[in-house]
Amino acid sequence: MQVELTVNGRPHTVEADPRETLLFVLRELLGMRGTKYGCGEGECGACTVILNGRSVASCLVPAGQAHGAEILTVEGMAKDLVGQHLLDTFVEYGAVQCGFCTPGFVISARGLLADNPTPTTKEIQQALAGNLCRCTGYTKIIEAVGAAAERAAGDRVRINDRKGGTLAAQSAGFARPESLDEALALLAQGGWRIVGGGTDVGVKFEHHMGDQRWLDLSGLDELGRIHEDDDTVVVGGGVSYTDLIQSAAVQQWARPLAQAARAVGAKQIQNMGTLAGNLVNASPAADAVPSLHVLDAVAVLRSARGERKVPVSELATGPGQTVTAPDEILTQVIIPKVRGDGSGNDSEITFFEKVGPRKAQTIAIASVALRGWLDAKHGRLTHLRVALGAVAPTVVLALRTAEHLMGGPLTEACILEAGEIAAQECRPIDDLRASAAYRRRLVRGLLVRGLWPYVAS
Amino acid sequence: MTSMVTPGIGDSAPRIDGVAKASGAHVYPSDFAMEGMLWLRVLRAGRPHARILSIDTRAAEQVPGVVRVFTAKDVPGTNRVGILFQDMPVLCKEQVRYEGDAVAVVAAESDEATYRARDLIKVEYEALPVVSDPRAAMRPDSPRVHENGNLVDELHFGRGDLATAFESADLIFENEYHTGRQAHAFLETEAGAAFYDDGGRLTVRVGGQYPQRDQTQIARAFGLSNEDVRVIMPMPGGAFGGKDEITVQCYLALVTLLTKRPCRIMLDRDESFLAGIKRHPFQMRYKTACTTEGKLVAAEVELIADTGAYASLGPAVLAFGTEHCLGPYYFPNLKIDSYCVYTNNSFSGAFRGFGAVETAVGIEQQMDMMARAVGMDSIRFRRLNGLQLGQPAALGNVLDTESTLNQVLAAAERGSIYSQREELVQLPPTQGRWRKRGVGMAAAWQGFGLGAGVPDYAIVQVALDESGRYHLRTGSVDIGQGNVTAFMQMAAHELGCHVDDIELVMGDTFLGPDSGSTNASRTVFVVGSAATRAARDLRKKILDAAAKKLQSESDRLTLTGNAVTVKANGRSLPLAELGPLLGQGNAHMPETEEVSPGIPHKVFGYGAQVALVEVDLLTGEVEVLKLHSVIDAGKAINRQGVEAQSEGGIVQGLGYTLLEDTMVENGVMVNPRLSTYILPTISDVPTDIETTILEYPEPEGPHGAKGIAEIVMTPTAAAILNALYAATGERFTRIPLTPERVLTALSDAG
Repeated sequence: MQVELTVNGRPHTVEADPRETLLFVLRELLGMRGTKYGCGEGECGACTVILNGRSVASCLVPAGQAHGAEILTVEGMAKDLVGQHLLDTFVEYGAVQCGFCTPGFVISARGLLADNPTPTTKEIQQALAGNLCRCTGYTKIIEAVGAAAERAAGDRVRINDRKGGTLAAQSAGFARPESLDEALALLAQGGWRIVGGGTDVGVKFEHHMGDQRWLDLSGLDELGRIHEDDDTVVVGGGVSYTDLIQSAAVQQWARPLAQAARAVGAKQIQNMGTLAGNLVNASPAADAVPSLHVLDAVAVLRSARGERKVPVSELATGPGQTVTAPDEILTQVIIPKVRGDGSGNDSEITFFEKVGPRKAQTIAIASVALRGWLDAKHGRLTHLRVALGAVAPTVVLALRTAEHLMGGPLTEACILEAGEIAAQECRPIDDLRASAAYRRRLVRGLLVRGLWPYVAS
Repeated sequence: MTSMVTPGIGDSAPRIDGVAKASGAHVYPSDFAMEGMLWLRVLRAGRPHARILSIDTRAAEQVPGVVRVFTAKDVPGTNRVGILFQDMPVLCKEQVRYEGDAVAVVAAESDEATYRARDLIKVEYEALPVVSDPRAAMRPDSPRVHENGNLVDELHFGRGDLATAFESADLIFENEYHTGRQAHAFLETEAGAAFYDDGGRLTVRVGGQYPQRDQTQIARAFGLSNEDVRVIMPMPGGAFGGKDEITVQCYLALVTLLTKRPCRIMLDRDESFLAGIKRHPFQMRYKTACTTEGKLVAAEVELIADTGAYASLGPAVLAFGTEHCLGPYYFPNLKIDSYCVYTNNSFSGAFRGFGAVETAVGIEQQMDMMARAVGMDSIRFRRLNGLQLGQPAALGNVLDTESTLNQVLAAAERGSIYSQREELVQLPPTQGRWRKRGVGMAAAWQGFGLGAGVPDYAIVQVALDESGRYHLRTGSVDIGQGNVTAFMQMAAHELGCHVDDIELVMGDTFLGPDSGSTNASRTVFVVGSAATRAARDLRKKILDAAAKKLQSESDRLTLTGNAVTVKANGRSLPLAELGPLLGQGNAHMPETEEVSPGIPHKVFGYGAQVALVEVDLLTGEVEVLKLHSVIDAGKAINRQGVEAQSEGGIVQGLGYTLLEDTMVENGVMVNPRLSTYILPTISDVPTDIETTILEYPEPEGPHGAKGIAEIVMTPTAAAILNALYAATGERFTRIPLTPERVLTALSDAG
């Protein structure tokens, strides 16, 4: 099909299979080879571009999903005031060595400065954790971004963040409908696979996207919204982790979800990946799912046949398996608002703790989400929910652990015992990343680590 | 950015390639495209050891867009490559020896077609027994990876009376160490293109480290003469030793040779992991002894390096590791037995550090143990035992230049971590309940250059053209470290011009001279010397020519910017009226008497590192909070460049210590992705890395410079491991040290 793109302010129309990656379109069809291939799975960040205002891994974006989008690549940085500062400081501060990762870093940094013109070192690290560099050791990259931020003070830092890529697309193997009904009708025909943020299917079907028919849900504005009423926060299935992190309603009523969203991948993946994707992929290690468990969230599944609600704790039946029917779309996640005991003497405590092989851009070896209310005066926890990730075929709601903790008071002995119980409540396996025995120890350790500040104080 | 002031030697000049790379304009090996190029894809064995019974490419060749599928029977010439000896087929004919062995190459009009066709090639195999453990591979009844057996090389050295020394020693420590099969994981995988150039030469434009050697390897594999083959090496997206050997060169050359069409290839990331070269895993047994006064008495070392299915530079790595395995210290009695062994694992070759990084894990932890046992500060213990002028090193070679170990140690001692180590490890009690901190240090030495008996030379040309522009021509490739910027600074210094006044011709066998390989921390030293001499030679020719034209004498003239001026009267002659002129410089690495090919070295760099680490006792996670590195650079030609090498080397060392290993189970790699092979991200590294650059000039180096690209990484692992011991009381002898290994050790220790 004819894919229309605006790249660095210039419109382009290319004849492309919409299932090709955006990276391929940029490099091979438009000849813009500043954007690099490094891994093909969104791990290294060498292919980072800004798509409708947000940095994404272009190796995971199907071209059809970028149809109508506004894209900023490294080739456009010299015409962009902030971009030019970044180019200057990367060179001046010695942040370029082999340079292959540099365009990706420049773009990620450009995305950061658009959102946050005065980032701290920590914020620079968070924003660039999705970009690997093998030469510099990162120190000079952090310095270069900091220096560019200083120079850019007063410049126009915003990027045109037109939400969208709003053009509908339709070809034999790729459809990007503009309404949910249209999407459900297509899905009812059978033969379509769903692509949302692309962060999972792009990896799973690397080089083979062309063998499948794809129904792209990213054009459905109604799935991208977060709204609230008196009793619930309703998160659309297409909401990204970045949307979750930025949402005031999520911050207030679903803090463990915001905490988990920050622990997902790194910036590019947070910008692309969707909450529905995290749920329906049903990876035992999915970061958002334990948090949804402790929030007692309910998933809304829609099909042309109608709508049904399934508690998140009943959605997954095994690794990669859910109760979702082939014609259903997970359209919403409903999170009830819980207000503790209402006495005003207690305060909500939440955490999402995770250990992976490294500190960022990492898949959990084990994770623990917790939400409850602490009456600090008596050291008692109430309304407590604890969920364990990556330690069983599906997320474990650790009921006995929660019960023990609520039996309190919250002392070192109590949390250590609770840790032992949690270790018994999970059913981990040995795999490439860790042994079952270590996973049990981790569950204990993460629970203790998360609760320790409340004991220690 | 162009600075108004001419950058001098020692300044932090911005690198010449910085702007092009940052802005996306630099054409990397994977970026080069021509009209009508074929796309290539390689079929790998996908099994560690098997006999090939048949290969059927018919179905693959029917795929629309496929031009041809090539197998071993299509290869003219020896079909063999290998730097030291040619044990590796370009395409396997009868046998595959590791998963990544190449069996066929698909050439097609589109990338998509190459994938489809590759899936349709039918190869019948008969499985052969697999040997994956190098110690097992040394046994006589082991399956043979190559006909002549699995022992690629062995080295044995000794002196003194070991038995008596150990008997009478006060303290003896014996440990076995295991290091990981680190992947280079350069951000740009192995990539390139091939085509016929205007002169009809088969041209391979590829990411590599030594154009002239690749030219020879390609020509030999296909029965061509070197003149028939041109190799161009643009600056690649990283190499670190992993592109020193042939990677994709021969697939490209084969297809263009046989189809007469241009072609291109870039390995997918998983293929790069599967097929690419790695660091040798080392199994090391160390037994060392000292007196209660802290004097080293004896050492017995066994090193086994797993080179996988092919030798590549394995014997050289083994030799280098053997030379360095006892550190820059004096042991009166010693015995070293080293082995380089074939297995059916992914093959290993050059990787930054080259045997010294690996053995430092052993010797520097032994030193830490002995220092603690005698109750002596680690730095004092090392100082007490450092090799003195005239003392024999491990191989019996006597150092004839003074070691700067003591100066390096003194700077480490004064540094911000070591001097405050007592305070830095303190944590407030609430945090300290589940966290422990420790400070550890390690020192190292690193010979630079290719070592005794291996020709190590460089030729560089600096020319002045008719228009008055300078051109520096070198075969030496800048693989990211900034060596070429340093050459340009040195040439500009001689010519009195700005770096921007010199054009660079780099890494082209047709246009530039042979400057040797970009490896062994050698290029700033030896190629830099050649560049300096070439520029001096040109300068002399320019002044002589100008003297004639100006009817003056050359010593009355000055050369600055773009003109020659008579000092006395200011009369000047633009350079455009003096060209063309050619300056040439040759340089050789200083050599010493050969003990075995490539060892020992004559010149060494010294370094020390101090790490502050924090361990999470609940999860086993380790965080390196601060790292101080001291290196003796001789003379930093580009200060920022040296710092950048230091920071990058430390982070590569940190990954080696805590994260990185290509895990191979019975010859099958289980983590060939960037999601499973774990590299450090920006959040995994200390933001507080401090580099202290000492400058004790090496008389034979340009401006006194020493090679530093490897010594920056060599002590990192041991410094972190020693810090972990200080934090936990546990000794970790196997890397990478995952949180699981840490937590298991801590739990087992109760």
